[in-house]
Amino acid sequence: MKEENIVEVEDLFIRFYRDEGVIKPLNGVSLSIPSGKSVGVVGESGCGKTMTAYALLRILPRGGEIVRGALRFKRKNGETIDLAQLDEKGKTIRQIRGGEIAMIFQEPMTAFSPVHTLYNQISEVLRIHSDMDEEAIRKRVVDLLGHVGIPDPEQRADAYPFEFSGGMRQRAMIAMALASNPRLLIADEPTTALDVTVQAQVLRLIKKIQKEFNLSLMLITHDLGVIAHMVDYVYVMYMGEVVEAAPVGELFENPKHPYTIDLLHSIPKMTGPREELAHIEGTVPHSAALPPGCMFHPRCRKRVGKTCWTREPGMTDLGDGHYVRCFIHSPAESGISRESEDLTYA
Amino acid sequence: MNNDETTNLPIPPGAPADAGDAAGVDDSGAPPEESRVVFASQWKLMWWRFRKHKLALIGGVIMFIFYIVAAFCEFFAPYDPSTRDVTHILAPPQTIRFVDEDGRFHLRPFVYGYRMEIDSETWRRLYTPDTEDRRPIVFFPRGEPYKLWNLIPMERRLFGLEHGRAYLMGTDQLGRDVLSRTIYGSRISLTIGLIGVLLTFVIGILLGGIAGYFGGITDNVIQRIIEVLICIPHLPLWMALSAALPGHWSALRIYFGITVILSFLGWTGLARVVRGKFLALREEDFVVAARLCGTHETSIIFRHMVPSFLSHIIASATLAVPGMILGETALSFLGIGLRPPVVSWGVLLQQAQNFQVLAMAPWLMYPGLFVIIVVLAFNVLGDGLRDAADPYSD
Amino acid sequence: MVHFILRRLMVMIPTLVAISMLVFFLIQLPPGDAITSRLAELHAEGAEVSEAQIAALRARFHLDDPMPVQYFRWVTGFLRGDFGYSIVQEQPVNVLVYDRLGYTVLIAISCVLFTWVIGFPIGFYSAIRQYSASDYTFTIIAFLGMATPNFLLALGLMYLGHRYFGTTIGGLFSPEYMGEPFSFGKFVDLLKHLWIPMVVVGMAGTAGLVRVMRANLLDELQKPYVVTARAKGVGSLRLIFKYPVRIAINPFISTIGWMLPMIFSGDAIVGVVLNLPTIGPLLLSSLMTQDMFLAGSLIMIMSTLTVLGTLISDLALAALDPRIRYD
Ligand SMILES: Nc1ncnc2c1ncn2[C@@H]1O[C@H](COP(=O)(O)OP(=O)(O)O)[C@@H](O)[C@H]1O
Ligand code: SF4
Ligand SMILES: [Mg+2]
Repeated sequence: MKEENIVEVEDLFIRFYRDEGVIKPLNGVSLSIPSGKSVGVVGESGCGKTMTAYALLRILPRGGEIVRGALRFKRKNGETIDLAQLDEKGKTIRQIRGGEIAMIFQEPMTAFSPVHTLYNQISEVLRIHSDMDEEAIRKRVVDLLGHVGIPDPEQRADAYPFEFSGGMRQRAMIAMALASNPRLLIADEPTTALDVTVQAQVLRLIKKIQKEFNLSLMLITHDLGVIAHMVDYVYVMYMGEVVEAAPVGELFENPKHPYTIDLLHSIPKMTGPREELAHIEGTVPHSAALPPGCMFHPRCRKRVGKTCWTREPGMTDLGDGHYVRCFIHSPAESGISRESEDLTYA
Repeated sequence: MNNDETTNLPIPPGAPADAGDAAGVDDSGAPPEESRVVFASQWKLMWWRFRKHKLALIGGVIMFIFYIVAAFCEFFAPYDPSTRDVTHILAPPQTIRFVDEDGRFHLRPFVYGYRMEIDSETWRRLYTPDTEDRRPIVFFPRGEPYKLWNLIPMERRLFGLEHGRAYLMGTDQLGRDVLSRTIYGSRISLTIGLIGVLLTFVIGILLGGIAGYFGGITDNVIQRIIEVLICIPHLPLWMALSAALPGHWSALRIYFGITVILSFLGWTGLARVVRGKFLALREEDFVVAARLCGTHETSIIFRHMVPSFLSHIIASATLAVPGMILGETALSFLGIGLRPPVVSWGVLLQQAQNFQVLAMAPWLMYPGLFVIIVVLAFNVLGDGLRDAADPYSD
Repeated sequence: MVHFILRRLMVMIPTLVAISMLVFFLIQLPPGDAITSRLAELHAEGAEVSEAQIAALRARFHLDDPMPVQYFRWVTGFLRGDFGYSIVQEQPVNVLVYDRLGYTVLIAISCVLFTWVIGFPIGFYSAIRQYSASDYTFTIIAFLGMATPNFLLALGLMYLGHRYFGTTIGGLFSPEYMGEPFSFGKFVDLLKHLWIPMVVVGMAGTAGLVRVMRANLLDELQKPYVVTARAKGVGSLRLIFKYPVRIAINPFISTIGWMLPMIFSGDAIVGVVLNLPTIGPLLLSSLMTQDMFLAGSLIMIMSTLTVLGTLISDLALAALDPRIRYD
């Protein structure tokens, strides 16, 4: 593991073995997050972003298995462990969840229990991960709520989630994530469900607390527009693979992968008529076999010929931290013929 | 368009139109067929989910068999349900055997005849198998002539004995064959469930649909009616209504009368489901999503709304049938539903109500076993259908 | 909140009026009336009844008044706590009900307890061990329980009791304690008999509870807030108890309303089969003999209890779920 990284995901495969077929959400994802830096993960809905985050916390939905790969994580005590090897119900991973890696979810509406107060739910983090007494917990929760911009936190702490607006709930969610001083914050589409005006505020808040608490940030979104001002480095995912990775400026100025180019084109422009967003059928599971060769080829407009659907492109290093998985940028011979690979075609 | 089975992933608008040429390399032909990503239609997804429920599949098969038997009960029952055999009153069930008393194996199954004595103290008849009297079972024998569905004259039945009569489930107090009566009874008991649910369906969907569609005052009135009806305990209401059926009515009219009575209270549940679905569907994510994506209205209705709606209704209806069957059984058991000479499972069970009789002839409870099997089968089937219909369960 | 209850009570009034009319109408529907039944009974006893006596009976119960007048007399009686008079049994309805209410409630409450004590843990276990062997086993048993009509189960148990223990298991007391004053021996005897109606009536309810509990819990377990809680590091058992169970219980609270009338009457058919001194059989026989005031009043009491019970469960739901407002 490199010294500067807090997380390294390597060659991660996730499978759901179901009666109706094998669902293949992740097919060899590799990415790393440097300590104190922010990294974006983008891609259309259904490409496996959330699955990657769940894998890190080992909270995959029922039936999901990590069938290959490593999830190296540097703990608060300096020790490096492979999260993939931990027992899902064990003590270590429970300490890490919420304690060292915290997560913010997309739907602030449903991500809180509707029948418990905010205080009840936020204080729970401290009860699990610290040995503070009741008074200290109360003080910390109220402080945190105030810090994330909830007015009148002393009273509002005892309110129920449904008594808050979406933006306020998301602020509370951030407060909950911060409660036990985690080192890594995963924000999964934190603003997707919010009004446009509120989105900017919440993003600013995330940015602010990241600086303040010296957090490493993994920001997941399907919206490249959100990424631009938020992160240092971007991973573009497609069908459970990273297809391009680059520093954020480079990616916007000099996108290499046809998919990234398409994504950039679909960013809604602030001026002029709003373009149709890509129509995405995200809820249909990948139960059918993955496309052979480059997984993007059925939609790709720049196919370089037969190679695209017979061989699988590898990651090409373009220098300056820019990587791409496409035959346009690497010789066909570099591709791997995965015919015999059990995982992809299993 | 091929919008139901397979779809290519849509290409994001705004991508360079002539990107294929832009790379300047030969794009020899289209990629192979299997590279298309397959999306399953709603029905297919439902079938996948349903197939997972092995129990539900078994339930479906059992129901199918039962309805076939009920439809052709004249053929499947060995005897006429009302023929009395005064020499065999309350005779116990015979066992089907392959091996005789001397340990010899016979390929053709057989039963032993009865030996009857009268207990000198209690005056009860005591039957024992007569091992001297081996009676082979024959298939498709010629028997008393009968008319299938009261139309087609026939004389062969599924099975019988070469001589004498077989009582595989014993006989009742009048010497009638319990098996034959149970098989005939299935026709009445099973169809009452179906017809009752059909009626319930019509009323429920109509009123529920009206309530959900019009809303406002109409919805309010219907809701109040439902409220009143569900607050009154069902059994007394059924009883009062069925006692009100004129005594001079023919068996057939009583039968329909009872069916109507059972549906009279049954529709409220379904109406609520329909109304709820109607209201919810308009808000459902995928409908909104489809609309936002510019999918055509009819396509929304037929690809998403109809399957989701219909599958819920089918599941609810399947789950409602056993209630009807149990209702008929309970009413007839109490003697205020169907009445002899009509043969239904409830009517048959009424004989077992007298404990003295039951103690002597527990086989009179056999029809109850069939009630349990059928209700069980319907419940697991309905359960599987409901799970399959729910797109949010896994 | 007081306002809410008052408003709900106001809404109840038209509902109850509608119910009472419907019930009164339905009870009059069958041909003949209570006098006919009473006469048949008297005839059976060998008594001679003259025309004049019949007329006197009819006059006594105002049976020849116009329908609306009869209805009005009957309904206004409720307000004074007078539920009318059983023509066939020749006793006030109040007395008949009072005699049987104790045992009815005793049996019904033991059934409810049985149902909850057995049904809850099994449903819970089935849900968290979804698709395990024990889940399948419980599921099959639950389906069997739901498919067996109560009276069949009662008949079966009675037969088995007779066959293998040589006892008749109907009723609540053995013959030797019948009519005896209450004693410890009688109490033990009562317990010996009580378990049968408890199991028989509780069976279907338990089975239903298992299914509903399992379904609710599975439903809740996949909600996003459960993922949030997992991501906080909450342990799995604590997680299930604190969040999903708490919410999965809600649907049961709404069934509390339906329990009231059931506790009042007990299962009627089982009451008949097992020869229990409960109100259910009284209701059935009153319907059979067209004892209209008795039948009508019993049905009315049950309906009112249903309406009240619904209100109670709504209040309980509101108390437990902060999202429900009193408005
Ligand atoms: N509970 C689940 N069970 C099985 N497969 C799932 C489940 N949730 C998601 N998937 C599959 O995983 C893929 C990736 O999902 P996800 O990571 O949620 O995508 P996103 O990039 O939108 O966050 C989806 O396409 C879907 O097929
Ligand atoms: S490898 Fe071929 S198909 Fe894949 S993105 Fe590059 S050009 Fe397109
Ligand atoms: Mg996601």
